[in-house]
Amino acid sequence: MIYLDNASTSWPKPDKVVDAVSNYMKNIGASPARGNCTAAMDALGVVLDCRESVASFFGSNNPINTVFTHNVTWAINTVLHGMLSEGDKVVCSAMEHNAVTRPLTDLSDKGVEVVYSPCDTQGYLDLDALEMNMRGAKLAVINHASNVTGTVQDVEAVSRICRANGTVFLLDVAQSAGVVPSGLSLGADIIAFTGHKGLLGVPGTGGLVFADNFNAQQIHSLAQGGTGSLSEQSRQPDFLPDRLESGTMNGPGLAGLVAAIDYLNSIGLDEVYARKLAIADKLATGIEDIAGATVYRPDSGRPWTAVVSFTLADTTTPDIADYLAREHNICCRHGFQCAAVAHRTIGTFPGGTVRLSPGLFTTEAEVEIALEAVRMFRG
Amino acid sequence: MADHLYMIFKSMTHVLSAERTARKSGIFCRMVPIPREISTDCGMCISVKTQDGPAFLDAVKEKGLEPERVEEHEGSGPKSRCYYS
Repeated sequence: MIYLDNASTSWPKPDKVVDAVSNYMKNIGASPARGNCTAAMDALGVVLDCRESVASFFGSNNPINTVFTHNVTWAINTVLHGMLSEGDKVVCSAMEHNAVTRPLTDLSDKGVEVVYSPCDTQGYLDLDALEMNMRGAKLAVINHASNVTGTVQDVEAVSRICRANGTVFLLDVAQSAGVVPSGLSLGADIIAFTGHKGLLGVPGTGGLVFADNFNAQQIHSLAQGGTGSLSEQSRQPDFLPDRLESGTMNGPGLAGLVAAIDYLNSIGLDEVYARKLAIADKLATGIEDIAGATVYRPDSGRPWTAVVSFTLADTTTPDIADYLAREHNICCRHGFQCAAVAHRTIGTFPGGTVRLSPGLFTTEAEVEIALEAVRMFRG
Repeated sequence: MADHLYMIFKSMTHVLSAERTARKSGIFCRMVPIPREISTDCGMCISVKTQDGPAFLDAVKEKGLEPERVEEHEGSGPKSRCYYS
């Protein structure tokens, strides 16, 4: 198998991630923060290790301001549904994933004003339009990097616009974390992350990191339940992280995430980015050389998260994907990649694209095989 | 003077964070179930020798981990006197 779907879930994982998950399952096992036995304390220790590791990775000095969720979709929903109600205004970009557009559509049905701020055909926000649209907005939710094109937004500029308007800034780093700098220093009030993509952790991990000066009391909890604290009270605790974390934590997953971030830090983000960019550029350039191919990516030299979305003239994206999977056992994504809004923006709606997303462990030989497969399909 | 102090924190995350902070500062303490006499909560708190209490509090407060309450404990059961909130 040639795995070129790292923008969905990265694979393979570093051995130390697999070992950490396995160690938790074999040797710890208990529920974090539930009970007083050694195993429960060890489990809680893993969760705190992960809180410290994630906080540090995203530039927070306060691990208690890091909250874990099932994934980034749940994290984004926590903020959107927890903060917005009838009469509020929210701004997003025209490159968002369904993790944003679907909850916003639901909120729109409930009387929230939703504004999609326009982007150009490479996916970059029109900052003048954003400035206009931001007036009166309670919240802005912006996709740091597109899962369709790999376009990286100018987050510092977005942050300045948010600050000037008193708007809370939620930054979705699903595609950028572990690839390009994506921390709080860029100016967001809240970061929503996932563990299973660029961070190299396992599915079922994700969460929110709040800036120190952000008041999380603004966010009503999506779910309420057991936290291991204030158990005599029927009301959800009002402090972080318990306010937004109910039910048994994903101990094995968080153990894996600690190991994954350790692994990334041991290589260094600059090196990770350089490796991914080199391999993705080889892939994109090779596809661009095929007759009738169009690759949708930012201009050379601009930040890019190693996502190669393309179309071939006179054929459909499912046909390409089916051929790659069936004849060459190549994993890719076709269609809209859960981001139809982005495809409308870049002009690939309704056909969509085929997305090849190499990862940290993708080899040049694998890229050559993938390129040859696309050439053979083209005939 | 009581033998030990119980440090009651908001959450288990706060408790373990405080315990780690204290240990890094060379202060010996133990995580123990919160005694029923103090709270009906099923969580944990930190037990620290009374003479180490001020150093413990200094260390955790520096990390923004102020306990909700501090209870004195003498002998087999806690002497329930809340002097810090």
